[in-house]
Amino acid sequence: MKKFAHGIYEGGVSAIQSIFAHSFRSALTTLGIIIGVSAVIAVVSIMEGLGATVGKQLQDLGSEMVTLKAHTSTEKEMLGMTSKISYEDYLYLKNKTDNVQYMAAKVKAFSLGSDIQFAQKSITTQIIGTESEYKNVVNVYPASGRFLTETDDLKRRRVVFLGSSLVEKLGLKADPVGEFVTLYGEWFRVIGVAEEKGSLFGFDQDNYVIAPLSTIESISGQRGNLGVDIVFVPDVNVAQSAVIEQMTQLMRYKYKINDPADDFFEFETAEKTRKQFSDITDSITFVAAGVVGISLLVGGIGIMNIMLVSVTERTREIGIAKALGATSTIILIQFLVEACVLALFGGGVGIVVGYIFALFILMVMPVAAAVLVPLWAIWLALGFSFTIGVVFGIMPAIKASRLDPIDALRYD
Amino acid sequence: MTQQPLLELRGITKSYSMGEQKFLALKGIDLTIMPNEFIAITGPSGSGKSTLMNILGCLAKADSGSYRLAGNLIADADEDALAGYRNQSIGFIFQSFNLFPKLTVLDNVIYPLRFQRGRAAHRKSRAIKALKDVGLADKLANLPNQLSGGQRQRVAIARALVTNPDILLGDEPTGNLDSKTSAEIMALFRDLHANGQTIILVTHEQEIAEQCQRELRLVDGQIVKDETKNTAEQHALGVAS
Ligand SMILES: Nc1ncnc2c1ncn2[C@@H]1O[C@H](COP(=O)(O)OP(=O)(O)OP(=O)(O)O)[C@@H](O)[C@H]1O
Ligand SMILES: [Mg+2]
Repeated sequence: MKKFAHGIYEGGVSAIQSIFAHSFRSALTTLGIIIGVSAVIAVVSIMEGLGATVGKQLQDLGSEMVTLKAHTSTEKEMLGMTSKISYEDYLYLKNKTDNVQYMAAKVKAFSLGSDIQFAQKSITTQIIGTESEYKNVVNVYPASGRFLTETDDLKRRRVVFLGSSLVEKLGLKADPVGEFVTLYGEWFRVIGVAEEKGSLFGFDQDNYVIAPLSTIESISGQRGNLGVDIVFVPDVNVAQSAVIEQMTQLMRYKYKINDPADDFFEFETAEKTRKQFSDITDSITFVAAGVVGISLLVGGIGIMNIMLVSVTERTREIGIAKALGATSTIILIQFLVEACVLALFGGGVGIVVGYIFALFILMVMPVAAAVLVPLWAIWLALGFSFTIGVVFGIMPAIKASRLDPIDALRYD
Repeated sequence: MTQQPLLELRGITKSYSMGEQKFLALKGIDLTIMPNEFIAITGPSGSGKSTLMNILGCLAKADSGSYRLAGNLIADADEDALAGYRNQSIGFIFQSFNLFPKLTVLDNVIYPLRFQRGRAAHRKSRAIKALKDVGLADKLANLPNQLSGGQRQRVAIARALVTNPDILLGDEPTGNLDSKTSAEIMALFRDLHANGQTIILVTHEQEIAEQCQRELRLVDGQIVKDETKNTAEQHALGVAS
C-alpha cells in the first residue's frame, strides 16, 4: 500500500516535471482532449445558460398559462384549408368552462400587416388584438399609463398599449402616453407602456403593440370572422390538465368530433414549451457528445503515443530506477499516473478553453443571458480525462514496468 | 573467529540464447566471500565478468546453482524481493555512472531511500552525510551534467552507499576516468574498505586489481585464478599510494 502511495507520488511529481519540461509537446499531445473537453464545456455551458434563461422567461410568462390554438392537419393543409378558432368559440368556452381564473382571446392580424409608424419612422412589430383580461393571463403590467379596459373594447377605441422597446425604436418621448401612432393607416392613441421583459434567444420580447380586439376586427373588415387564440389561466388549486380536458370535450361536443385525430385545435402549455426546448437542447448535446467521443479517442491515442515515446526515451532511467530498487509495480504506477496527469492537464485546459469559447459565442450571438458551467460538467470532463489517461496509459505503463533492468541499463 | 560468509555461490551457470544457439557465459561458478573483503574480478573481454556481477547484484538470475546473499537464497526470490535486495543489500556502481540526468546530486542520492521507511528530513540528512563522505558536500544542488566524470562517479558511490548495503559492487567503476581521477576513486574505495565495507570491483587494469585484497580471474565463464594477497603487502601498498 505504501509502495502504491509512493508510486502515485513519484508518478505525479515526475509527470508534472515532464509536462512543464515539454509544455509545447504536452499541449499538442493533449490537443484532442482539450478540444473534446472544451467542446463539452462550451455546449453544456451554453445549453445550461439557455435553460436557465428560458426557465426564467417561462416562469415570467406564468407557468400556468395555457394557449388554445387552431391546428391545421397536414391533409387539410394540402387541400389549402386552414383551421380556425372563432371568437364565438371563445365566448362558448368562456361561458361553459368552470375553474378558469383568467381568460382572453387574442388575434394576430398578420394579413393586415404589422408595421407601426410614428413621425417618419416605421417599425415592424407584433400587433396583438385582445381584451383587458389579457394582462392577468400573461402578467403584463404598465410601467406608465394603463392597460386596455373593457370600455376600450366595447367602444372599439383606437388606443394602443406599447411594448417598452418600441418607445425608443419609434423615437417617442420617454413617457409617450397621449401621443399618436399609426397602425394600418389609422391613428391610435398611446394609453400605456409595458414593463420591460428583456430578450430571449436574442429576440426582443418588448417589441409588440396591444390594441382592443374589437378595434382590430373592425379595421380588418372581418368582424366575427378573424381566427383567434385563446389564452387562459386555470383557477388556483385546479389541475391544468383537468381544465384542458374539459375544454377539449366541449370543443369536440360543439363540433361533433368523435375521433381525437380530427381535433382542429391544440393546447400549448409552459410545460410543453419547456419539453420542446429540452428536446432541442438534448439533441444538440447528443451531437456534441459524438464529436467529443471522437476527439477524446484521438486525444487518448495521442497520449498513448507520447507515453510510448516517453518510455523509450527514458528506458535507461527506468533501468537505473530498477537497479536502485524500484519494483515493476512502482514503475507501472508512475507511468500510469503520468498519463493520467497529462490527460487531466488536457481536461483542465479544455474546461478553461471551453468556458472562454462559450463566453465568446455568447458575445457574438447573445442567445442566453449567461454562460453557466455546472459542477457536474466539470466532474464529468475530469472523470472522462482521467479514464482516457488510464485506458490509453496502461499499455505504455505495462511496457515500462516489464523492461529488464540490464537491457534497460544498456540502452542508449 | 567463525564468521558466516556474506556471499556464497555454488555451481552458478548462466547462458544467453542467440537465436537457435545457446551461449554459456558462466560455466559453474563456486565462490565464497566473507564480510569486509576487497575483491577484484579480472579477465579478458567477454569472459563473463559483467554477467557474474549482474547475478551478484540481483539484476539477473542464474540459470542454475545457488546464490546465498547474507543468508538469503536468491534463487527463490521473486521480482519484488529481488528489487528489495537491490535496494537494501546491494550498492551497484556502473562504468557510465548512471545518474538521473534531471535530478540534482542530492535527489540522486536520496532516490534509493525513497523505497525505504523514514521521514523526508531523515533521508535528506543521510544523503548529505553520504555526499560528505565522498567529498561532495558542496555540490548538492548541481545537476549531474555540471560535474566532472570523477565527481559523477563519487555521486554514484554516495548513492550506492546511502542505504548502508552489505556489499558494494562496481563494474569497471574507473573505466571512464583518466588515471589521476581513477586513482582518487580507488583511494576512496580503500578508505571505505578500511571502514569495514565489503567491495567487489570488475577491472581489466592490473594496477587496480593489485590494490585489492583478493583477485579472481575469469576466463570463458570459469574462475581460473583466486588469489589472496597477504595483508603486509596490502598495507605497504596502502601506505605507498
Ligand atoms: N544479453 C546478451 N545476449 C547475448 N549474449 C550476451 C548478452 N550479454 C552478454 N553476452 C555474452 O556473454 C559473454 C559474457 O559477457 P559479459 O558482458 O559478461 O563479458 P565481460 O567479461 O563483462 O566483458 P567486457 O570486459 O567486455 O565487459 C560475452 O560473450 C557476451 O557476448
Ligand atoms: Mg563487462
